[in-house]
Amino acid sequence: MSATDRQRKIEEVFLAVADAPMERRDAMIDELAAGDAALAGEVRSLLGHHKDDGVLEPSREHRRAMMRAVAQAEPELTMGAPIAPGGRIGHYEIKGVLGSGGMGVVYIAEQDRPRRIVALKVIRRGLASRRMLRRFEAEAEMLGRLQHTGIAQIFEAGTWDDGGGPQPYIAMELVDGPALTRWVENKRLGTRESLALMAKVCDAVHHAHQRGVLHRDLKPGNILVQDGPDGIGQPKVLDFGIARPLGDADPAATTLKTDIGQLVGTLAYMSPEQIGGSAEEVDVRSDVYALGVIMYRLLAGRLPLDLGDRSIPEAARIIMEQAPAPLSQVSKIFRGDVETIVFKAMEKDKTRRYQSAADLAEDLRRYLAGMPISAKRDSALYVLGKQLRRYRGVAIASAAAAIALLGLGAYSAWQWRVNTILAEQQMLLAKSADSARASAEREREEATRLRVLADSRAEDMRRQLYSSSIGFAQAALQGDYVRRARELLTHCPTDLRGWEWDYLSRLSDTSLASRIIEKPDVSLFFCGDVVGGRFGIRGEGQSLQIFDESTFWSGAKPLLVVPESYAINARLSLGGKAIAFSSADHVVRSVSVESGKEMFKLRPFAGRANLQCVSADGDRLLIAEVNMGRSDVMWASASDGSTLLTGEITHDGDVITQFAVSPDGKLLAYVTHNGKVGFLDAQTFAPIDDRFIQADRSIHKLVFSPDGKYIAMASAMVSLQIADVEQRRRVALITGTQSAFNQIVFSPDGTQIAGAHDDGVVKIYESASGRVLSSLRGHTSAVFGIAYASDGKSLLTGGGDGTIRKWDPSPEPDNPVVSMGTWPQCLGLSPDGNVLAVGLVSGTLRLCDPASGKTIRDIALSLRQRASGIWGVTFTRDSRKIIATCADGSIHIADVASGAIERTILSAHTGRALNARACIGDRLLLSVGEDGLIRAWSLATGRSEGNWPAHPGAAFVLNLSPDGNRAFTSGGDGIVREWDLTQTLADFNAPGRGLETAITAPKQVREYKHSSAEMFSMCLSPDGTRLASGDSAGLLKLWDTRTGVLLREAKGHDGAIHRIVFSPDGRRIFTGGWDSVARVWVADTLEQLLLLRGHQYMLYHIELTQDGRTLITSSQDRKLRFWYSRASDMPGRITNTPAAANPSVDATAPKP
Amino acid sequence: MGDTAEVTMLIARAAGGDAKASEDLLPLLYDELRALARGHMSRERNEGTLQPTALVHEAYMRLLGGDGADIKWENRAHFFGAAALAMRRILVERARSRNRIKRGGGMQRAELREDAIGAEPEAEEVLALDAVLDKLREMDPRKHEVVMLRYFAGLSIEETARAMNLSAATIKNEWTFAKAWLRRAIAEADPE
Repeated sequence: MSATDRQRKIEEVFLAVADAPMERRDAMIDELAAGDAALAGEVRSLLGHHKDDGVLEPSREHRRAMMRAVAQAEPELTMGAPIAPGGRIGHYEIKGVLGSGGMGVVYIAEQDRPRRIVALKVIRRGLASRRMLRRFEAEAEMLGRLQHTGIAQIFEAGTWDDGGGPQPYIAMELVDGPALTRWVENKRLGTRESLALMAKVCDAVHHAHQRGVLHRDLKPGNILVQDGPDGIGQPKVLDFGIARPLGDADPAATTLKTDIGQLVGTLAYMSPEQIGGSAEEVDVRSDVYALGVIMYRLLAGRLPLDLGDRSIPEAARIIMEQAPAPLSQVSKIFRGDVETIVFKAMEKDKTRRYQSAADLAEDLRRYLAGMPISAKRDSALYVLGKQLRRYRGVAIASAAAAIALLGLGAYSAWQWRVNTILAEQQMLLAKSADSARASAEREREEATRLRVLADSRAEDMRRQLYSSSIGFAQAALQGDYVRRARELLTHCPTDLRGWEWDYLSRLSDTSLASRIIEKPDVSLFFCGDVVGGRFGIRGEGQSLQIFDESTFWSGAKPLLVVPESYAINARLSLGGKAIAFSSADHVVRSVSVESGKEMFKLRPFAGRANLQCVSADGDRLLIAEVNMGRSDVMWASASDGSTLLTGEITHDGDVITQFAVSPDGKLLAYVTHNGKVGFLDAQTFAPIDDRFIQADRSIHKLVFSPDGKYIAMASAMVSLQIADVEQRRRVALITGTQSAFNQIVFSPDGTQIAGAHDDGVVKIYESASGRVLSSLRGHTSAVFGIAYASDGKSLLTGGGDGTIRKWDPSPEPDNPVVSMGTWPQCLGLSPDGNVLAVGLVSGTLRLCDPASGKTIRDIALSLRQRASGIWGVTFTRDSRKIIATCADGSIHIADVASGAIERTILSAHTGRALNARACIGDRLLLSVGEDGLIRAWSLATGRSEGNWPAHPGAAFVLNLSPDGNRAFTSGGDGIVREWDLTQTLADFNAPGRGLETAITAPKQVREYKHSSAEMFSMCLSPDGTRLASGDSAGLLKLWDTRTGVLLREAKGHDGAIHRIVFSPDGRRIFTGGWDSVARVWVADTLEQLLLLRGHQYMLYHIELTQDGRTLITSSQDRKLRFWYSRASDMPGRITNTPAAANPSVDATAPKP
Repeated sequence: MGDTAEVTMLIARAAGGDAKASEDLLPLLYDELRALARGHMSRERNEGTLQPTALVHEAYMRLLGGDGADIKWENRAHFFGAAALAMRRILVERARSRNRIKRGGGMQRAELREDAIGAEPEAEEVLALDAVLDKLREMDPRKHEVVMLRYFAGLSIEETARAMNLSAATIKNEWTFAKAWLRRAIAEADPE
């Protein structure tokens, strides 16, 4: 009797006896138990606890007490007590509580570095799965990029774990001011001031929209106002889409921000399309609606619609149907433009609203300036303007939708719309030319202006869409949404792509090799393991193909193709010489790989269901057929199909779904539909004992470990269980993967399990613990087949994307690290690209291979005791000499080839020598140091040729223009100074110059007044026309060196910017700083594209290889990190033929 | 800071039987139940008039709409399951803190009103039940669900039957057996 049956029997007897009078019970039990003493005992034991005394009954008192318990429950109950002042979360010290709600607690906290007071939102522990946390961080990072005076800046998002589970937090700008409504009331702002304030809110909202971020919950409580110089106030919009799930709506994520009180408070500001619950309908215009409601609320002092205490459906109906009371009913002063603007923003039909927050702001400002508002202008021009605005709105909306939904094809749809705008314009222009001459002239001018505007906005939007796509692709990769990342990358316009695109593309495919098999929509399974250097693949319902593993990656044709085999499953047998497969016609066939001839064909069982070819241990095949209530199994000869042994398996009449044979051939395991895993003697088909393992239902893969001790069971419930076979006991459970296991395989040494997942990711798990060791990204759709290659190390996979891929499953970081053992304070790359020099704090100059970081040689410099090592390394232009500027003020010149120190200039600078450059010709060396001087040295003799004050305080960086005639220095005074070297160089190079003749000092020609902070970093673009400068406060600025004009500025890092480099093509800027991250920027707009996290402590230095492909960073964590943008540059990579990049490897699948 | 439409969706999903959504509903339900209970307690002195089952129904109606006449019981099963879970958590937390006060916090005892302790289901009962409930689920998920709905959501036999789409007789049997089983498990766990 099975355990379930037994339980059922116990219940039956118990219930039959429970109602009987006491005295009859014993007799009844004995009768019903029919001699089963254990059963009778169990029933008696239970009856002993069967009393009608009200215990556990939900009595009236119980209910009342429950009500009281609920009413008196504290909000903190489920989230733990708030942290007391002085407590810490990560690198924040708690100062006090600002507020708390359903999602967590908001603290005032002080950040350690940089020191500042922040608002720290700590999200309730336990609400977020690990996957959600990852996405939450990625999302918060995106939001961190919203930088606008009207938006509360997000500084950082992270998780902190004090042992009680990960606790997500967000550090954001602490806004000191009341909510919008209270501000307006307190300050007694009039209509005009209120609207001016709202125009500022619109600006902020529009800024976010342009970056593809919707707020979706705008309301007065989310807008705080600080004092501003204009007396109106500076609004700060809070909570921009925080924790809004990325792309696909994952309602689970909404628990982060769920609070029933908020739900009701929010309803009034929700647009009809939002309340309708359709995610695709929500766009920038939904935020415009909320802005309209807020304006109404500010002006009228009440909400436009009375939602009272209504249920959601009732409120929804009102929002969708009922018209708000006209503002002019509240006060006559609103009649006219004000009412028109507010009601246009609140239109129920979103196509009739302002199409962007910018449009709303523009009309508000028109009204405030006494100009006619757009909605009232009525002329051909008005129509044109309206059209333009309308389409622009649509374009922005679809860009936002594309980003929000990360949808495919949205980009091209958007492009199409831009074209439509332009076409419409042409048409309207033609029309306007027909109108009266005088006005036509004027209108044409205006139209041209509008057109130019539209064009420039279109280009603007295209770029913004690109940077958003890059940001989302990075976030998608972090969440293992490989396909989405690839889609986003594929749709990036080629002319905008740069390093970041290559870098993310590399991360989106980490396979060593890939090859397309047949048409791309086929799902590829393997025919068991690799046997005798051969493997078979089976497309769903398609042909079977057998390949030689050694020639497969060079594109060799299959050894055998069995066309239209319709194999349900297949196994290589006879050491890879034959392929046996079962098909839907209930027949097992075996075909010789060598000759292609059918060796035998058998129809082993009479059943009509699922025939499986389970195992092929050399000469024998195990064939099983699943029938209702029992399964037939047989061993057959793999050479002629003759029957060796037959048997039958039953287990409580359950359907048996899967089989597996242990590696030593002794055990046959099976699993039933109900998740019971049982074992038979594989040699006799006799049951071993009646012990089984209870696993989850819907186990669809059963695999023995190589030593036969364990069995792994993958279920459709997204879990993987590992059980001890001997003890029939589960030893490990892997859950929490985001996608189902399609197939699993043990590594040959048994220590790892590779899982092929339905989301296209292959994960490597540690068998003992279930810990994820690595994620292999590359397949763009579900992975079905998985097998270890015959080298026992690399992994082969087949996917729904029609590719077979090869992987190195050993855990390898995305961005390899080389440990330096001590602080690598500076880096330098030789102009020929062959040597990377690392200046260490120990005073050692380490020469490395820039491709791998492998040390070529160490050169020990003799520095004054206790000096903090080397602060700058550069090369002569011929790459033969290396120049090190050191903390003790000395400069050392060494020979790259021999490592010999050729010259040492002691006390070149007072204090530290910081940076030096060899001038064209490699004869003159210029250096700067802590003493603020520019010094000139003869490289040949080491003789001082001059010394000139450049900066009060230190001079940190020296750069030379491409022609070598200008020098740029940055200093502690916050200024970059540009020096004309023409005369200096001419004097130095003058033939027959006497040793006593002084050379002319560099002449300062320009100052770039960056800030008052120290400037540790500065870099000239390769063509010398742009100068990027960064200071100790993290401000990044871009200058035109031809005019001295400041072009752009951006908040670069939290804390100092330590190093800036341009890409060789000048299109990108890379920065590294105190905040331990490197950032990638569009050079001409200073728009941030990527944020590279990895180092633990601050970055000292960054370098980009000469080919512009690999970024190298050095950090206080004593490591160099290599951020490869091309997989082919990575050391140890032999083959890489990504399917997308190299479709020519397409296999030749012979058609029958 | 919420996209409340998604919350509505979450509830709909839970009602549609998505177990993960039920779990995610907890904090939401927790707040809703608390707010409703508070409202009733302050309005009506006669506490006996409102029962947990009514509370849960009201929460459902407020969040998903509809009125009492249109009770689609089968749609509510999972919602009730989530509500029962929320109630269980509230009771267990409260019982734990009460136990702490009774056993260790002598200083605070005086501050507690007698009736507050007296009318409550014994903290020990809730804690003991909580400790063995998971075992019951392992053995028989259906019985576990019956206990959750009966004990923590306060549903009657008939209501439980409708929520689980089973006959009242079946629920009654499940409940009778589960009670005996639980009581034995509690007794075995705590020999006092």
